[in-house]
Amino acid sequence: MGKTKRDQLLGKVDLLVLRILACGDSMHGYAIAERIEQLSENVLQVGEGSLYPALHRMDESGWIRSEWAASDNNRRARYYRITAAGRRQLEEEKSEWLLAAEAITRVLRLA
Amino acid sequence: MALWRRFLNVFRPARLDGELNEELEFHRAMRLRHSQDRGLSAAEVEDETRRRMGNLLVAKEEMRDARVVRWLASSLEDLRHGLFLLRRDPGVSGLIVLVLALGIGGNAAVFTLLKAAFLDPLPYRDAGRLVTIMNDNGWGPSVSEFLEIRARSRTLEQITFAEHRDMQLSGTAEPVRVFAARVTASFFPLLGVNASLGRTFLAEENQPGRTPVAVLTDAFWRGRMGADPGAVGRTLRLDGEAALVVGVLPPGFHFDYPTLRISEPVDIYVSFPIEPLAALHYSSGGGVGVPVRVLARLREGITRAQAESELQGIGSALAREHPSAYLTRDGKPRGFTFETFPLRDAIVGTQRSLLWLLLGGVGVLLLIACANTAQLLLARSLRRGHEFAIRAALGASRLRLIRQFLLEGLVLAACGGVAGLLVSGWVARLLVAVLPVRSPLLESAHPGARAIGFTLAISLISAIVFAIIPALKGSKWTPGPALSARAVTVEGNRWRHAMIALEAALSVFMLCGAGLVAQNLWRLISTPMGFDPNHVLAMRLKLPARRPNSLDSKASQPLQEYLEKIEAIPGVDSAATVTGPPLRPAIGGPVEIVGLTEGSGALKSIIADLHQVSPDYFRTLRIPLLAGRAFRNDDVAGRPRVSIVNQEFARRFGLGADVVGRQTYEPGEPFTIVGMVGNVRTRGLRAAPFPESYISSMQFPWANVYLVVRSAIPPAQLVKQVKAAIESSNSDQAVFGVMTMDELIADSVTEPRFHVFLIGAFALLAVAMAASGMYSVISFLVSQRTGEIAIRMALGAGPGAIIKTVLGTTSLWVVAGLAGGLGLGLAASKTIRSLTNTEAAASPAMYAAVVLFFLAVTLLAAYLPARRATRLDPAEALRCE
Repeated sequence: MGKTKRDQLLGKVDLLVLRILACGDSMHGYAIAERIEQLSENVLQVGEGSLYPALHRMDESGWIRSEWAASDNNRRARYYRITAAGRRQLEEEKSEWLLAAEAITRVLRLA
Repeated sequence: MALWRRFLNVFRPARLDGELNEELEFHRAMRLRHSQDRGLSAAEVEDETRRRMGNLLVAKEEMRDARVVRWLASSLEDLRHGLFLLRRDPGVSGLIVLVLALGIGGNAAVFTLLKAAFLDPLPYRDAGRLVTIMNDNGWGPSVSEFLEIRARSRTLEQITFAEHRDMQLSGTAEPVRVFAARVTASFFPLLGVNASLGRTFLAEENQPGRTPVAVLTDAFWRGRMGADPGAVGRTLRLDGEAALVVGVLPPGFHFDYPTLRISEPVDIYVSFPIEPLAALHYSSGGGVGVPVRVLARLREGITRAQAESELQGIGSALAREHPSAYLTRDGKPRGFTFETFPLRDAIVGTQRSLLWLLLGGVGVLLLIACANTAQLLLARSLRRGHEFAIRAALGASRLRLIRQFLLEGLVLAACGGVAGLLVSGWVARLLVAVLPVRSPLLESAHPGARAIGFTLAISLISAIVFAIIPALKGSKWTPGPALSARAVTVEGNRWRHAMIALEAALSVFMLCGAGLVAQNLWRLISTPMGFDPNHVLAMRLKLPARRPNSLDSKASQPLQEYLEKIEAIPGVDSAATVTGPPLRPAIGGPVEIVGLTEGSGALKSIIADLHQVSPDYFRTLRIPLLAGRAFRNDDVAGRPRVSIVNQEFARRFGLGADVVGRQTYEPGEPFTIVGMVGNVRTRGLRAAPFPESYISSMQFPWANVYLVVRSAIPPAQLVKQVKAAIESSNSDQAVFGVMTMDELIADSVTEPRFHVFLIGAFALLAVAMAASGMYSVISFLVSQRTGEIAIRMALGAGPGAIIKTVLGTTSLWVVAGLAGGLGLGLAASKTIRSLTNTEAAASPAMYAAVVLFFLAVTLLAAYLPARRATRLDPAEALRCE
């Protein structure tokens, strides 16, 4: 089950992460995963195996920025925050996705 | 910024890993807390977390990759792998590094010397504007001409000259001879040198009639005066005259380059008295006077071409104004000009060819070292076929495999480069120490940043050169066959053979060069000297000061007195003096015989060496008198001028014994030739006889002479007795430069001997490398074909057939290399001859000797592996398969 869910997400983790961060708060990885699950009403589960590589890749691409800060459980955590470049990327990916999703839905309905 | 951080992360993997772990650990802790909050048991919590988070190794790898410069990180990995492999095979790696260190170190050393000769600034102020001025006959201008140039030139900012001579320093414990330079006051300011103690010269000190003043070199001040700070103000006796010491020069200063015809390090500088008489030289009709070394500084913004054209104008003006001073021998006016040379060119002079020779030698050595390394690496790459096949099968790209090879090459080259750099300074010093001539410019050579840069560059280039073929060949693996069966490596072997052929060609080429110069040296040594050098002692002395060139009939008296006293020593056969003994340079000039013209009607003129000798000279050296008579004690000044010539002199004029009785032109009164003697090897580097004429020292005394004494007394004892004899006649007479005639002969071939030593050493190194290359190729072939050889032996093949199998291809390649090397040697022989001043071409016998020698070395290299092949036990070998 979990595996298929993650497979569906492949390639779209970036989009979801950017969308979550676009709300403006800086969040750590666990919170981002929680939020995705929560907002998708437990349909989408982002595995750590794809979440963290995606976060680090985007950090290096300049879409998000990270910094270490104290968390609520008194441990150091890495917090991520979206950048201007990240917002542009989000807009681009979002419209692409919506276009594709609409098209796929149309095809599914007609067939 | 981000790139910089990724770059840094390559070098701090632990820190990066720590951060990644911490982040994931935080995530795990949060998930644990979350599960606990839902009231699960400890075991269930653990289980759920493991299920959710799974194995994060791959994810961590991806995160790490995102955080580093990927190609750099993987290069480092390859580098570590390469280092591991190099350490696993320390013998071969050590050999490669040693060979490379030799090649690169040699090049770095020669670069250091080239840098000193051509790039480093000369140790004088703004040396780019310094020039030397010469007459068009290749000699320096005379003092009179110097004065004219100084008065007329507008392009020269400053001008000076130096005149070098032996001087006798007396008044100390034992009379010593010093080498002195007499200069104008502008000498030191022109070079930009100040005295470290006291001062240099003042302009008025060049006026005649003043007490001479002296400036000491640092070496003289330390060596002879014990670095006495009170030296300034003291009075020395130079050539019997008092001279006041006014200063001491700084330690680093020297201006005594043999290439500027300054034969020895200068001890002492003395102010030159410029007599008004100097200007009168023109009217005397006796030429223009003794040549001096003229140095000048160009005015700011003036090019050398501008200065030269102005000086040419001054030269022609002088010839116009003083027609009597610029005449050809038969009295016709001749054109006359001055030439200028940049000081650096004049100083580097003939050493240029030596430096090119060195560069060529080390260049070829490095090439051989690269070829050798390439073929060793190729062998290793073939042996590592399996490893690379596996890596290729696991998805490593060809580029990545090539990079692995290049990186390993780079590691080897870097080790070789560092080792080479460490030895280069030492090699450079060694080279300078064994140079046949003193070279102050090269002695001051030091590596510096540029040499380090150069070394790094050639290390890098050679790494690419020697690693590229193994990289291309070794990376070309189709995993299937390489893994399944024993790979057939014919192509790799072809490249190894090509490398061997290249090494063979280059080393044969070097051998040809060595043979060429060795044959020349042998010719020089084995050519008859024309005199009997056994039991002859030579030494130099400088007669008490008097006006040089004086025609005073009493001038030769002290000399006669010395000779009489020396000949009176029991056991001394005879003694004589000469200005230029055999094998030592002599002064020479054009000579014409009265009434002897060429077809065109012009006087026939030849260049002949001129020696002033005492009457017993020919008897002392046992030079045969072929016609006429020797000098007599009544051939003195005031009597008819007489000369004796050698056979070659007569031959050049198409004469034989009938040369006796002819007359030669000379300003004033002609000379009558009264005798003809045998040819003597007076010029050390030449085997061919040279025309010579001798005049009597009793008619024309000269202050600087060699004393030659024939005696059976052991040299050490003889020297003491001769010195005592001279002292009993004149206690102020210094004697120096004592040598036996045999030593003088050895001394005369230092340059050809050096060339043999140098090129021979290069050639032997080259041959050693080539031999080790051949040895390793053949050994490798044998080990590669063990199975095949064993089967053949089992089927009854004899040792001959086996050897043919093993050596067949290799010997073809080696012979091809040999032929190529011979061709190269023949083609370059002219260049080598001009660089080494070798007169004769090498004989076919020499080339045959080179071929035989190389073949012998080849056989030696092939012997062990070939024997191993024939001694194989077929059963054993096949079982191992």
